Amino acid sequence: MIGRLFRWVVLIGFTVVTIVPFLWLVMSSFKTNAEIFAGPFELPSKWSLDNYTSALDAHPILVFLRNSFVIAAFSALVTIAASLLASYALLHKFVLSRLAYLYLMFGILLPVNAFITPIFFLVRWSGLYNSVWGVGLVYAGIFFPTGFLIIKVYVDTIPHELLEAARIDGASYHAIFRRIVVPLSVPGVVTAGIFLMMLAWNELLFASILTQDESSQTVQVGVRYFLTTYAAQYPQAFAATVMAIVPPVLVYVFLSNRVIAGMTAGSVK
Amino acid sequence: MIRKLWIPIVAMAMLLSACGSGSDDDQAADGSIRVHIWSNFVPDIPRGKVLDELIAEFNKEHKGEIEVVSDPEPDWLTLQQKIRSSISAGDAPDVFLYNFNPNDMSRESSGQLMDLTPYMDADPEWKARFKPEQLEAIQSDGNLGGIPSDQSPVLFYYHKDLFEKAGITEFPQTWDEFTAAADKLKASGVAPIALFTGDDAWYSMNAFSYYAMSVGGPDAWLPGTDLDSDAVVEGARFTQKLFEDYTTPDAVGSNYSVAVQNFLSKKAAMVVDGPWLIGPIQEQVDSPCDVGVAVAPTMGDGTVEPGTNLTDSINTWGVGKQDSQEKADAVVEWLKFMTSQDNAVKFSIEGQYPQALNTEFSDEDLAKTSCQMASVLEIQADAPASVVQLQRSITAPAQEKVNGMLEQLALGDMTPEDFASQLQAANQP
Repeated sequence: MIGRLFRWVVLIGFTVVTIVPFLWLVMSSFKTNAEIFAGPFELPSKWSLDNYTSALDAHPILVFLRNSFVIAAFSALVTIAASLLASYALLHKFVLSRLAYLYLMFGILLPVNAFITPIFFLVRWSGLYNSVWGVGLVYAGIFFPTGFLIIKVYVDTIPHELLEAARIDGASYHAIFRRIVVPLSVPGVVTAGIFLMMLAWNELLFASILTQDESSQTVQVGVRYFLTTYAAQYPQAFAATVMAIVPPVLVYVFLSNRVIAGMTAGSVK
Repeated sequence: MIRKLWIPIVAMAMLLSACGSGSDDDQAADGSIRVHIWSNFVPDIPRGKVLDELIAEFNKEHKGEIEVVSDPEPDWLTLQQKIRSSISAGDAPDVFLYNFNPNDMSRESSGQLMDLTPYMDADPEWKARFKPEQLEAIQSDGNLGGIPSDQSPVLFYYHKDLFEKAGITEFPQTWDEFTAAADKLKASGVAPIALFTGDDAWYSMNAFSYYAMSVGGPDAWLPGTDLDSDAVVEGARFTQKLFEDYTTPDAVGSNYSVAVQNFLSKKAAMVVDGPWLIGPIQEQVDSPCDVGVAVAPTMGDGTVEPGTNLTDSINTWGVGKQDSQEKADAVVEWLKFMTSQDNAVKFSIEGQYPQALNTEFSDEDLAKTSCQMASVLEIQADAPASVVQLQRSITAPAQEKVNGMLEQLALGDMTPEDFASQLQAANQP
């Protein structure tokens, strides 16, 4: 009985902690600035979409959303392609294969924020500054260890017997990769893709540093136009934030099993 | 099924990519020279609106020759990070806004900035627009890498109606009167002053600096001065008292946005801020002219002449070195346009942004301005001296450390004496 009660308390407590801020955000996106500060937890006096329309009028939120999507999809694709190739290579034992694995994973330990200036220099030098491709490539680099970790776990579960049988049947290494490794890794690829896209969608620092105008800025950067050094338009900022989090929330709602699979991949064999 | 899912994603990404990238090229489509401006003047704030209007006017006048583009970054710290990264990468922005700090000359000494001295010498009329001491202050090894943008006066903004309700008839002239007024405001149910410790703790550091200056005089934190001093100790003690007794409950840990809303929504009666506050006052306070502007109190002992005000650091429009003379000339052409008498008036009145220029205001101009800006201009003109706020005058490591120390002070985890000694220890060149 006490155990059951405890479970419910924990579940309700956790739900409150996660849902209440979200509901507060949505509710506040319908309020005026004065209402937010006068009664932060009260309902808005009227449910109007004014904040949403004024946010959309003030800045190109839809362009920001498009840029976020392009960057997230591009960086996820690059990371997945590189991770699949690296994981396949590491299915085979070769000289320094262990070292290669450690090298590829080493990035997960690095504080990437410390590399802002060299990354800025490289992006600028390559002519990709203020471009979605520049941001996408940087994300592909900094999120590679995470994607590699998820995908390698899946690739490692492919039975070696299968690869050996394909070799005996005359398949080349490339054919094995295309026809066996990639298809069998699809669940891991999808999981990694969702996870990587969400990471890229929510990133702010590099998106701010590497873009300069609205044509290439992401939605996370765009939201800050409403919260400047000199003034804060909270209602519009909240409305823009709601628009920014809708896509990842939908992804999570419809594909949560894949996200969880990614988090727990390899825990049970 | 999953393979099918990826095909449209890739296709859509490729399709959208066509319009998903920007550019930072030096030339516009019509062949005109493009000049980029990096600032935090977003179009959502008055100064940003004016900047965009001026750019439109300038571009119209120079069609086919020069195109100025504003690339605003809303967040000041991110803007500064971008500027530093850009300079480190050997590609300084064309025109960029930054805080001049005599203790941090990394930008000026980078070799990446243009020298405007020949342009100033060739055009004495333009040179006369600036205050000589400010031009001198921002020079590095004889090179003038930019022009002063603004040196915003930091003043007390207060709700006159809340003062009246508390029985206070005029803004306090001495700190003793200030404390008495704060007690009355508190008794009337309003927090006397809005403060915060997040971001750069701007409001708190302003209050702290004003009090410290009253104790130690205008030279209390000149470069090279020992900060383990009575002025800093007393400033810290006063600030600690403000946090304990006279501010809103959310002050510790909150940031500028929260504190400014506390003032605008009349949860707090006073705030110590720059003229950028005037825009939000006009937009959000029911009767904007009920907000008064005043200079800070003094000790009344002559250490500081009444009317002496603190300022933000000299914000500077830095100018990146250009490969072509044509582009360098285009940049200077824009700077001259932006700093002209007419445009300086427009910036002050419509943009609530008084530039650091020798600007004449006619009665007609002043009649068009807001109640607060009229007071600011008047106070600025009458100020016997102006002193850059303490936080803007110390070394970068000390600046980084002072916020955490201020929070500890506010929470009572640090004594004023420790505050002063640790500030001195951090403020080493």
